[in-house]
Amino acid sequence: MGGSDLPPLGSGALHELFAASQRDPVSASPRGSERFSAIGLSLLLAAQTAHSRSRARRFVFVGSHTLPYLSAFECGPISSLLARAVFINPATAGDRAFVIDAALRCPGTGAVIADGRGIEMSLSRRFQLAAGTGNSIGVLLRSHDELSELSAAATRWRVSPALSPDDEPRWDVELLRCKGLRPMTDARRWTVRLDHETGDVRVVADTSDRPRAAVRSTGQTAEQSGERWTA
Amino acid sequence: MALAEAGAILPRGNARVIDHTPRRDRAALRRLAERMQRFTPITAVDEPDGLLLDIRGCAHLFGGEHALRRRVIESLRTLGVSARAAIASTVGCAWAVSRYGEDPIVSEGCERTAMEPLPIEALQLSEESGLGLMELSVERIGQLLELPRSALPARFGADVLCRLDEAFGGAVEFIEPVTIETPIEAQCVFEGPTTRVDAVELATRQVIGKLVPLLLARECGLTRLELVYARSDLPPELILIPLTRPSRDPKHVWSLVRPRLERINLGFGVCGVSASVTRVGLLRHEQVSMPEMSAEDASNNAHDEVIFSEMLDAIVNRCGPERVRRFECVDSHVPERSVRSCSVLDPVPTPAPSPTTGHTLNDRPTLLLDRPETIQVIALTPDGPVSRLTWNGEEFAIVRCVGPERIEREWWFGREQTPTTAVDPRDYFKVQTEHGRWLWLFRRHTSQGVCWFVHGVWA
Repeated sequence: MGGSDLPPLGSGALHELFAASQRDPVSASPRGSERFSAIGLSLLLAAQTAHSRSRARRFVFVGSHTLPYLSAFECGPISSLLARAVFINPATAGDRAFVIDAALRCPGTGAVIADGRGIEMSLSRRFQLAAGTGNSIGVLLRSHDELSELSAAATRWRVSPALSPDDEPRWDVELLRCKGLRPMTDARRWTVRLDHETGDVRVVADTSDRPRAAVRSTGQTAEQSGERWTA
Repeated sequence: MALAEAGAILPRGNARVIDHTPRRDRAALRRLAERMQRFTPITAVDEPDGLLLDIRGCAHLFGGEHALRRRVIESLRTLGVSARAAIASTVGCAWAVSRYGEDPIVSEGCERTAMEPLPIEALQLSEESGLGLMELSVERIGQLLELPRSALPARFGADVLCRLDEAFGGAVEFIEPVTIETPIEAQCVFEGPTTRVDAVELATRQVIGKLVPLLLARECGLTRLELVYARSDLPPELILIPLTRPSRDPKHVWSLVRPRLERINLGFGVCGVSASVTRVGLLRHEQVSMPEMSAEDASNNAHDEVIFSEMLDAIVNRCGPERVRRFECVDSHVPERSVRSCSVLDPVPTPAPSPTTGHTLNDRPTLLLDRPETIQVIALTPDGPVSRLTWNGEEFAIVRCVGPERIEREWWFGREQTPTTAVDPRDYFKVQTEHGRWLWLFRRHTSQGVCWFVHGVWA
């Protein structure tokens, strides 16, 4: 599946991102899972879908740990999107459910990126219906120990950091479940990186994103082999 | 006075410099003009430093013109303003005499004798006319009056004659009086205290309905509403409703009031409801209540914004205005100062054209910790790349280390160190753990040695 494109987050639906995995102790620690959601990646993915539509709609972030570092997104369309975005930090779980539901239902909302810890099946169904009503994108950031919980979300993703051959961060993105698709025995998996010029999330292609050193070395071997042929 | 001179006069040396803000001066002058309405109903601001009071028919209420003038000056002095005042039958004459004259009260018909000894500046001439008169060494108004009247406009410009006529009553000068805005209020008083919730609800809806035509007449919408429920034998109950965007839709306002009304304690009964609009915003005339939306309307961006802000109002009303924020970037390279939180109740700024660096993403973490967290770091060589770090009791091997990047306090704050601007120089590193997680670390040189912190995560 490595070469294919990452499917976009569908609008009018609820998506769940499980940020951490056991492989990464930084986010697997109890305090870490609370704080290190895949906020940057989910924001970029949601923005990618939102920009493909013509209307400029507003983003809503719900929960205290969903504030991305704005200086990372200082130019381009994402910065103007963030300048108009609203950050809500509800005091109780009841308030949080109310806020997510109201924001998803509103036709002026582009996407709702929310702290999704402790959201139950019935609530997720309510959010899924609300997202369908408002034709907005709902992204719930959940921690990996809730992976076995039921939910009505359209898709479930697991995002874990991947070792990168250069100085650019990479992530492994796994599609764990997708409504309307046959049950998968093994998850579909992509390795993605960020495109600094456009702000898009790009799937790492084997050919174009090969480290430079590797390219040079294969070139050298070709030359060497050529020399050998002529000799 | 020059700043150096002021500094020399002051005993302790330091003169404080406060920028001149004409906007605030104008606002203060306007407030003074509103206060002066205790003497006469028609008062006006005369920029940059004057007030005009039309006291026609008012002087006898204060015991004559002399007494009135004294009381005006006295009342200004209690406000900390020293003033010169003059009374004359024309605006121009009063203006001139108050600034340059000796005898402050000019009785009717004596304008000419009062004005003749005054300098030319008292006529408020334009600069070029003033210069033209100066060249002829015409310094007093009396000298100007000796010149032939018919030649004045051709030689010095039309405004000389115009000003003279205004000062002597030959031409009419208009003033633009300030109007004190009457507060937008409505109330409903019951015949006796009631504990019936439906009655209170109905009264509240009626009161809100009464506000709509008042707002409509001024082409504005309310952004803050105060509802006061007078209760018998108990202090009144106040409901404060902030709105993110001006609105005069009674249905929307009622949808915000109702959940708050459900929670108030009616006590022994409510005697009355009063509503006052304490803040308004400009809202152009439009249809107050939207009919059912058609498909074209649904794709209307402006309408989306209205619906979005109504949704925000509901959230602000439930969670409290301090829990709903917007954030904006600030020009600062110190990470924790580069983002500022602002209230969602302030209007959304028009996005500034973003600089075209060709990059949408900066090489910065996507998540910044609320406060940097202490870590222990092992490097193979003293200033070399980080090889292991311990954070929250977990130990990681570091496979990649990019840096350092030196970040210091903003140079534009100058050399002065204040607690709000002081930042120790930091060296930032971007490191990758063995599990692939990228972290943003920095090291700080303090008196105790080198301290390491984690400040951000690529999440």
